[in-house]
Amino acid sequence: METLVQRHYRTVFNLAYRLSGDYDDAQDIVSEAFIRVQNALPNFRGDANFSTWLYRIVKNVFLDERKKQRVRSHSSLEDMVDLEDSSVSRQVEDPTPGPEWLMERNEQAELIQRAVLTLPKTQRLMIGMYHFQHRSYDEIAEIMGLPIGTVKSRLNRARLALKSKLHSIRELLEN
Amino acid sequence: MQCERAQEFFSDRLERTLDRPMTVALEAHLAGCSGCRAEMEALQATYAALDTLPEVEPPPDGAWQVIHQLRQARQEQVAPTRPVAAQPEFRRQPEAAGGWIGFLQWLRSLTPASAAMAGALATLVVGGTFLATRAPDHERLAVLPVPQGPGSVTPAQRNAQPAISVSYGRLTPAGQEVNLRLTPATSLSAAQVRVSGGGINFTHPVSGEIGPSRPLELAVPVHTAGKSAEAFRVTLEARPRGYQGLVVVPLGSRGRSSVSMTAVEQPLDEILKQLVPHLGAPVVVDGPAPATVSLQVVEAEPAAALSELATHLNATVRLDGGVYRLGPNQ
Repeated sequence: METLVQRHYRTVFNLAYRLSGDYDDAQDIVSEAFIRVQNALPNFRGDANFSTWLYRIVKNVFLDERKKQRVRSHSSLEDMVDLEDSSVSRQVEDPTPGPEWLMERNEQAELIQRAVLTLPKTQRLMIGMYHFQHRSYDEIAEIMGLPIGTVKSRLNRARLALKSKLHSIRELLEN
Repeated sequence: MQCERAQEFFSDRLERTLDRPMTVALEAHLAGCSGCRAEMEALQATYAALDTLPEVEPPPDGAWQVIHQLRQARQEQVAPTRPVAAQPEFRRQPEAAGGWIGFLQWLRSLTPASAAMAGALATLVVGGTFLATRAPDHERLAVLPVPQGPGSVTPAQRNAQPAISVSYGRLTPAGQEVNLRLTPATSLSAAQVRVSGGGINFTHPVSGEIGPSRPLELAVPVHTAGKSAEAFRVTLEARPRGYQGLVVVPLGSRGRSSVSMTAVEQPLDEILKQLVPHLGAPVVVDGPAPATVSLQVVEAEPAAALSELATHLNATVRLDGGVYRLGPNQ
């Protein structure tokens, strides 16, 4: 079991971080996923690729985590906050860790990460698996338990949403 | 081709999965539609941005944390917590002058039945990050928090830990007595202290309070034959806060200037038993610690090796009255 952790920890952590945007949440997701793997390992028949099976568990943990946590409102950067006699742009707390854990090396990566966090959880999962982990549509369909056509259309929708979001963010920053 | 229809194929076009006739149709539409060209370019930029998002660096000990949790989960499945054993009949002994209570003196005081039960309340090491001891609820041990990083232990908690001094006592037929003196920084209403490990397993009642001016002193008999070090766990049940610690003492000196050690998932006490003969001084580990550690040091000075171990445990190390002390990170 420890060998499996050593082998897969880094990639699972990366996906978990991109999904949650939070260092500690990512570690929690990873820990819970491997505990479930350990519990379910006797039932793994080997008829599925282990990686696929593992990420199916990661998906379930992430979806379960989202249910447990309080809803975080993802407000648009374009939202205005009303003050008594004026309004200003909503200030968004930087979701990335502080300098001692700085992970985003450039501003663009930060913006992309913020935009990804605004996506619904299922779209976020698919974006993560396709673009961050470079999985095929077939693999994602197997992990998500969805028809491949559904996966493609939801991914397209996610990309279009991200496209609009990134466009808005860039415009806001330029102004 | 209408714009809405064309945009359905943008992703396929970027992924080069469109068949030839559709590709031609789409290219023809894009040639004549600036709006769709802009949308296509924006989507292409989104693809590029997503595909080039850098990998993040996980916590350096993140995988080990997961492994510890897995082991803890396994142990909890294999060894569910036992019911509390009936309390042995301890007859509290009057303290000798100066607060010194000899182990042999106490042992002679036990009735045969309670002597047999003396070892019943063994400390149960539950892998990973906690030492779980079974105790009656009214004497439930307050466990020091596991170090999670800076700020995890408050100054009050740190100050409440007994300072443990170690000295060598009288020789016995089987070996040597090791004298422990526990001096908490604040007054504790102590119930009992347990010492286990190295063939030792006894529970010793404590009457009244212990504190800065009233330390608790114990003589621990250690078998020394064929050993260069010994390790035992000390568990103090007290109010408002108890204490757990690991004490490792050298029983001989190797005196080497450098050590090399490779330990893969070895118990912490075993690693320290290898190290203390080179250190030439005891090591006390305050609070719960991982049951197993993996560590590699090559040609390092003994104190540097201990420092490396402390870093690995996210703990601090200091030399205090001739005893190296590992404690939660401040």
